[in-house]
Amino acid sequence: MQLDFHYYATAAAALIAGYDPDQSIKTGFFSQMTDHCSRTFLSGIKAPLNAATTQLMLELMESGSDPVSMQDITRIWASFHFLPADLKAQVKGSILYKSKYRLICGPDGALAGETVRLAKREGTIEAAGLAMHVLADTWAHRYFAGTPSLVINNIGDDLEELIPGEDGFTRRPVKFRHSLTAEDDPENGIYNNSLNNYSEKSVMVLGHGRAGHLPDLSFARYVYMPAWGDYRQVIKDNPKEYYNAFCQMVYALKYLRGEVGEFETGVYDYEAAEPYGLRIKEILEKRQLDACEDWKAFLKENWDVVPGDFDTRAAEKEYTDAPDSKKDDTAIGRFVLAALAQKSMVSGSIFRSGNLLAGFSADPGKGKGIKDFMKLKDYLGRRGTDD
Amino acid sequence: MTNAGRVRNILFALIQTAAAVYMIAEPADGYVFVAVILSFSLLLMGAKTIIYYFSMARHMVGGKRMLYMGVLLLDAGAFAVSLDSIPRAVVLLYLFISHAFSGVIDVLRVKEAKDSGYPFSKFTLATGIINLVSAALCIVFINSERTAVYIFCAGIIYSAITRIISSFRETRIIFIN
Repeated sequence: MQLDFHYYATAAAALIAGYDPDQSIKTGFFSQMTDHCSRTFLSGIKAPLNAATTQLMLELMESGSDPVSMQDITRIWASFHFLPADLKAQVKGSILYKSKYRLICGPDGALAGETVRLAKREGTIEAAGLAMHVLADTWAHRYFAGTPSLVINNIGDDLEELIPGEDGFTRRPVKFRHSLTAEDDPENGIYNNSLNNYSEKSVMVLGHGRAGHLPDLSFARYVYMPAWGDYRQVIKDNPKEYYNAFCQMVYALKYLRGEVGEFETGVYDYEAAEPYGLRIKEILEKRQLDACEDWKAFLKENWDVVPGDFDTRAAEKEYTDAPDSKKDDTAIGRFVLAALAQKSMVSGSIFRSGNLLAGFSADPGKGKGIKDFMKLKDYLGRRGTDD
Repeated sequence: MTNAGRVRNILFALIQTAAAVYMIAEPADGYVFVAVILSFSLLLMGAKTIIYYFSMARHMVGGKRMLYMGVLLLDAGAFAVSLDSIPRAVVLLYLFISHAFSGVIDVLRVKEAKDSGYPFSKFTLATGIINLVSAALCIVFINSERTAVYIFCAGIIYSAITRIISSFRETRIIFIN
């Protein structure tokens, strides 16, 4: 998903869930922050580097293919953008193949539930925003894994787009190119994707790189054979899945506000979204690369809310101006803690499932861990709980 | 990383450093050594690709391509090993491509940080410049055996240093229930 959904649509979901305009915009802002908080960003404001929730393209290209770098990449991408759907999924193959297969992202997995519950325990708007990002991406990024893997993430040349028309859908083969500068061209079915260098550990086969931006475009519908799918085709219907994502966010945000007692996966608040359903579906289906203006208009029409452009400078200033003892009380400080907690929860779950692709995790009760995560441990201690 | 993995990494780095120092001291032997390493690395790549096919890629849609690639690489490696000598230009072109690629990536990385208004790593910039200079030297001295040996050894020593550094990196994180 892109800024249009993570920022503006998330703010709209928060408004429907009952948050006030200011909190709603903040929820959207920190949802989008998850796509912005790279190590380069964190080093610029002298924040803990292990709180990185994304990696810039060149950070990725700079990282090696050694196990430590692979684990680092997996922790970031599996925790925040490709949440695994089933860490115990059964499949034939070697241990390494199974480990990679089990990181395939999908909605309504156990970790999705844990993500929202964790945000509830954190109790901050920044944690809510981060959780909404993770939740929404489980829909957009399903069928891909947040770890470099050719055998899971590769896409062949069979991918076809389903173009809606008066007589139903027509199939059109997608033409991929590898240009760094050219824009996607939905009108002619030409999209950019990453180059296949036939390496299992290449960052080119991380996540949905081989499918280009198609999973991130709300209007896209396409059919293809996933590398892991044993030659079976899958249909990805983004407008439908994005709508589910939206309704699940409304439900999750109601839970975070305390309006719903328990959070369960597989529940979507269609009822609350229904009055806005036609307009939302219209935005989602419109063939455009950037839907920001439509979402802004939607917010203005319904709530007279006009969020500013996504700009982190004020939050950065608040963080850098705060003394060390008060940094955790700033918005970015709270986001950093939420990011460390999410990364810790997901990486720990992967590790405890017997999968070493995200590296080793240590129980906080045993006092182990690296510096940045000791910060999380201290925070949990101050909060009077180890969970 | 496991403790055994750390020990393995450090031992391998020490062997790499020792081999590089020997090749610098004896450039004539060193050149033969470089050519042999490059030939055997092709063989090894072929074998690895075939193992990769049987352990992973056979489950992948279109995975048979990896088997064909493995067989071709293995064949090319066997051919290279059987040659009496590999032309200097081939070795230096190989080194040119690898250093030029790394150098461009480092410089772009610094540019990206600078363009975004963030401080950039002087170490990354220096590494990028050294890589680009090494690539240029490969072209300038395309007929020199010594240049090939020195640049290859510099790469090995750099790899050994990063291997040792990564062995001491703390990689655990705390998990919460």
